Amino acid sequence: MSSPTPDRSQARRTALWWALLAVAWLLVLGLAPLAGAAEISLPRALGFGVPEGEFNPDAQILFHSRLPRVLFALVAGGLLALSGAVYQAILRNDLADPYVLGVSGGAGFGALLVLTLAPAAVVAFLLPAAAFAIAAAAVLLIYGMSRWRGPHTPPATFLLAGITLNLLFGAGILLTQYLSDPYQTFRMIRWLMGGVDVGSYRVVAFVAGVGGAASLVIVWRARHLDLLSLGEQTAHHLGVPVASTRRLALFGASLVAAVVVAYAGPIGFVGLIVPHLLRLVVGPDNRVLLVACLLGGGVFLALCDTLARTVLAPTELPVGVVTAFTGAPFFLWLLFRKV
Amino acid sequence: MSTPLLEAQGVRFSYDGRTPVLPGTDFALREGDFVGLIGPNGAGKSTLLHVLSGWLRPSAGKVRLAGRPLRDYTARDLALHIAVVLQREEHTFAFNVLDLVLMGRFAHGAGTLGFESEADRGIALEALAQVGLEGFENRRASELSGGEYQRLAIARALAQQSPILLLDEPTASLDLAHQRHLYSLLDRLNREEGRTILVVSHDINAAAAWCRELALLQCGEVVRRGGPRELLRPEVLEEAYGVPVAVGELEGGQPLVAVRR
Repeated sequence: MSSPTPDRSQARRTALWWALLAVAWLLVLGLAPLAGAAEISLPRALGFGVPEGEFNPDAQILFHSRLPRVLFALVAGGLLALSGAVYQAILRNDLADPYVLGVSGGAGFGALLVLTLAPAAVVAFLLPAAAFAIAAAAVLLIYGMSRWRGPHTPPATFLLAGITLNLLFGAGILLTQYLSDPYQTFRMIRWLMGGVDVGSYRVVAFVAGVGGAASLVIVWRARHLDLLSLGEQTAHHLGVPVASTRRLALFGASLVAAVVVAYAGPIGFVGLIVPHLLRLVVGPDNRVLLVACLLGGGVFLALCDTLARTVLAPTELPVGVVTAFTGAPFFLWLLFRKV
Repeated sequence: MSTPLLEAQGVRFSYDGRTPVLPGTDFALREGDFVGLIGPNGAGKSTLLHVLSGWLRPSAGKVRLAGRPLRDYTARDLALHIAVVLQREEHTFAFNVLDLVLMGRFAHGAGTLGFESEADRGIALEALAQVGLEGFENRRASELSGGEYQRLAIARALAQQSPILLLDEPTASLDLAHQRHLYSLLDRLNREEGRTILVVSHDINAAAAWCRELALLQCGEVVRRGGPRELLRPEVLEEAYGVPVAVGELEGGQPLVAVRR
């Protein structure tokens, strides 16, 4: 007979996993910016051997191009993985990801509308706003309809409603592209492939701030989500305020996904496979898993982006292509492996 | 007479808004009751249990717990008073058995931030031992048989340490030995700890053997309630179930119901 794990060892094991992932996160943050199409020297970038006041291209590349990009990938990947883990818990479905309630379709349609209709000068500002607004509207619409239906909407209904909205927005996206000129169409396709080259610390800070605040609120209720994964009624009988927990998790995860998608486009697979992968490693307990997702999702996306920047350098691949090419085979293995 | 601990008064409930499953039902549990709720399929047994547990809200009538309307209680307060064992629950993720039983400690504030204490673990392990699942704590729930999972759900309800237990078909997938084990456990919880217990069951004989009282539900109304021997009369059961029934008696007075061919 195996003896039960005492309380302290559970806490120790958790701390160990978090620490390992945090070290990986920091390593990626330190090393990934050094890789890329152009060779740069770290000492030069840090100003050693460069006369004061002279233009320093290494520093320019490191601090203004690569570092914000890697940092954004670390933040965005973590937020997408957390969002996916939360959706998988509240919808009780392994296939749920951050985009499942129409966030990707809505954001894509909003982005394309701006690319088509808005004057070039305001695109940079307006595009994330429109992508966010329509993504949020999609989630609100689904939630509103579920309230109208009654208090106990089954998770499958949410999923099907999300798929429907994504298909509807997909048709809108195709129509917008069909009506656009080829140059616009290229920009649209590029945006829809996703990318983490946001090129400014301000965007990184904004996404990290909004996403971080929402994450904190969700992580605070990690145990509620564990219980909710047994079904709403069981969770209710165990003392979980089901409606408010589900609302909070739904809106929190959607907010996190929408704010990432608004700047990065719909990057696939991170929010789907990272939670599954980490569940295999740290177990299903959301008190451990959600923080692990914040760290591990960032590491995964930043590594994929480093691959995207280096494999065919100087040509860059869209990061969404790399996450799909690495994520899809893994997910297939996960589905068909012998248990 | 003490005031009822858990009481439904004139409760109406309908799933589709038209045909009422509960047409205005009265039912009460007093402290220390051990009642078996029996009746034909579709009589509203589970629905009544769901209304009493606070999961379903009746469209009319009142449900009170210790004199206070049920809807004045938060989910956590309710869980501290009432533990419920459902017929089914979902398991999406690979939690192990001890994890799942520890979830019964949630209402006591355990594990919301940080992990459960040694004391909570002790309670969970004891609950597992009570349902005969000692040694199962590190097994995955998905590896359990239907009957083992049902006992796990009962262990979790015990870990809640609430004075009222509502069980929906708790013996449905249990073999004879485990049925007897479960009912004798309920009997002891009722006798020694004074817990108030309601069991919804199709197995009239098992309910009659252990419950102090039976309540017969028909079309959402409690048509009869009383000790097993006075309630289980052939004419009563024949009217309720519409089949020819014989009622015998084991030595010691335990009634035995059989359906005639």
